[in-house]
Amino acid sequence: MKNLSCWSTLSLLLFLSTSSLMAQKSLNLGLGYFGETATHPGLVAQLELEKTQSKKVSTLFRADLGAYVHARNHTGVFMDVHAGLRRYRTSGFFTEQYLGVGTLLSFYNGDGVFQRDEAGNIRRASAFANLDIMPSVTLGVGYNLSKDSASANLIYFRPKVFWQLPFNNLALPHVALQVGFIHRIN
Amino acid sequence: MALLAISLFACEKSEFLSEGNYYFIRHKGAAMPVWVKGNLESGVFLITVHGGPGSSGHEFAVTKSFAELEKDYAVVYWDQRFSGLAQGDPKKSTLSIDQFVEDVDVVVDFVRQQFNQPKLFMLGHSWGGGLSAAWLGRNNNQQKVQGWIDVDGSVFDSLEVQSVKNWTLERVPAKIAEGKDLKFWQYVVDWYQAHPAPVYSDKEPYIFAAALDTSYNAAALADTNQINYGKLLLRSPYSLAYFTNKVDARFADGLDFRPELRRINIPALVLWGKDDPTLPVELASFTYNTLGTAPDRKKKVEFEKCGHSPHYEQPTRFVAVMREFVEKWR
Repeated sequence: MKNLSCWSTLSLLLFLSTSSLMAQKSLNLGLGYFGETATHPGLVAQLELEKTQSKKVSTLFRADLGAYVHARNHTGVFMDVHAGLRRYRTSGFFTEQYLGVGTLLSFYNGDGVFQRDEAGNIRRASAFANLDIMPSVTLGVGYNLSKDSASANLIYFRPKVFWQLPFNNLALPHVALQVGFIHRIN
Repeated sequence: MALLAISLFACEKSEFLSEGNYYFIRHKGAAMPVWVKGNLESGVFLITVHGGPGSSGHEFAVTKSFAELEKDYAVVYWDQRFSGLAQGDPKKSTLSIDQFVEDVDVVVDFVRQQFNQPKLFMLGHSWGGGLSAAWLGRNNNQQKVQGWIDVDGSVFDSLEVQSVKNWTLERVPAKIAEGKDLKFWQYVVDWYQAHPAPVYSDKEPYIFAAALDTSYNAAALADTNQINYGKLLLRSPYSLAYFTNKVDARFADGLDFRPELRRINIPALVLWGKDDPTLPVELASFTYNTLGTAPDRKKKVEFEKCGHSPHYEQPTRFVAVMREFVEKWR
């Protein structure tokens, strides 16, 4: 399952990157706050390949790298890729939506992790939990501060739902809020 | 503005993140959270074993009664595998009574080692009552514990489902006579005719019985056990796992902990709600009488105007009898 997760993420990332690079469109960098359940704090950095389809619509392929801390639950480090659409309005506002997939490394977050060894003694254990598959759905709204697509500086607000699987033989849904800034670098 | 609001809330102190110590115990694929808080200096630790199977030990931690008990004793709240806020991805094959009993053993060993061999009491509620009895009655585990508190515990499936059936069907005619919800009450009668011998994992008997639970006043109880849901949702260990974790209770069908119950001889306190629809109060006497503990070392208390959870529904009286028991046998 873990291998499948890694390979699916890397393959999709490679595919999306290659197809977009061939389109020779703009490359954006972003940085933002990533709050799992809004208030479990983290950061997310993103690399975005944007292909303009019309004056108002562009398709995007985005790779995110981020981490967050849910105290007394887990710490998550994730890398995921997304494909989606962004619609610009003449007012400068934009909306966007994405489907994504990636991997989530989680670590138990608490005052200690313990296990009983074969001799029956209680010992400290690794906090590393799992390397899980992380599909996601993201919606977003934002504003183009420059209003000029040639030198885009965007701010965004993105609610995201992602799943951690497998988790207790099921998938655990997470909700996250992201607020950040995007800058076009070429 | 949204970021500012989130930041301000995120910086607010939360007792869910500051009180006590929060551990994880890894065992056979599961990572079970164990929250130890309260008066650790007392040297008396109360290990809770939650119900379900599939509920959460964290539910005890947000009740008025356990907040009160924490003033005098350390309380250990833990979530069983596949339950509450438990993490990991254990194999389905670990859904067995023997595995749950083994998990109790690991938690007890952890508490004994981590806190320098404190005096232990064990409290089990509902399914947890049976599970704690099963652990106590095996391998002489009871020697590790000063006393056992059984709160509306489930120890013998086939007797209990018949008791719930009788409790329900005795009350249904009066409901039908009232003339309200006739289709539902007739469905209850029909269901029992079609299922004369229900099993532990059948959900219907408990839904039917809950519909007859007249002593349960949700609004008043929420007022008594006030919970800051904002903090609980956004500044606590809670996650959506609380809702998505599921235990297929079929593994517990036919459970019979009478042999273990007979072997228990440590001080014991049997607590029961007189109006319990889930495990009717007649079962309190069954547990009390089956228990191997000598009469002068065991006590049964039935709570008036109380359903399945005395610790939630009658906190003042619950704390009083708990304190009396622990102080006597610590």
